[in-house]
Amino acid sequence: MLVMIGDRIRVKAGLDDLARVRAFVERHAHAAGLSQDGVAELVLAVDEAVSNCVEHGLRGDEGEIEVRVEPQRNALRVIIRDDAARFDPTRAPATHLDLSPLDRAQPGGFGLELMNRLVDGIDYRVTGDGLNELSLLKRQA
Amino acid sequence: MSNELRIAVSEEKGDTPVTILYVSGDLDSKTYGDLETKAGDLIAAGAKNILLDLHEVHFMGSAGLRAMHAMAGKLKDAGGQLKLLNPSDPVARVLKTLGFDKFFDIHATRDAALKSF
Repeated sequence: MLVMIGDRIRVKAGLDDLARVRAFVERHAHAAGLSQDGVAELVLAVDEAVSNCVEHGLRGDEGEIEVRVEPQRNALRVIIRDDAARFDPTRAPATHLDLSPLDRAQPGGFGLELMNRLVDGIDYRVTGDGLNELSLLKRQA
Repeated sequence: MSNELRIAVSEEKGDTPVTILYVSGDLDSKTYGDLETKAGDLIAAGAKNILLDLHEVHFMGSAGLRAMHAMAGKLKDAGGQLKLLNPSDPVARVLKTLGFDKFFDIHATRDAALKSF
């Protein structure tokens, strides 16, 4: 299921709609005046956030994810809400990308690190009705 | 909007045989398993050296890096290597942001890449 109403898109918590979420964010990021690199970085950060919800939070096709955009002065804020178990990615343990990550036994763990490095601000809260709400801010240039 | 992941394979014979995987489309958390599976099958069938041609990857997330990381580990165990050819901007962005551009052997041309094995 896919619902797109102006400033928001709602998708089922599967991986099938990731490309649509990326296209939605890309369109709004361009409209908000972000640079080419800024647009690509924000799209990538949102993709990581939504992928993380699906892979580690919602599991399978249960639940729904809402991605909303809020244009701000010289910036765009993207707000992602899901009804998975509470998870605060801003408090997840840091990935140590040390001397030789290729030698690490455990692949993965890169998504949240990538998200953190690509945006200018990240906030997490639990909404009044108990949803996870992650907010990503990307400034113009 | 959606660019399906496509993977084509060719074999380069020679003193050091190299399997080239041409990857195009979107390499995200939905599709990265296809790349891991394809590479796993090739390694199980005897491939030791793999060159990933990435110039037509339109989007890559950290899942793509996860697939490359897993491939590099399997090839190392098999006594071989993974190398990357001409990463597109989306691929280069992920590699650079996480510092993996320093750890992968990355080449700009096919000839240089093949000679380096």
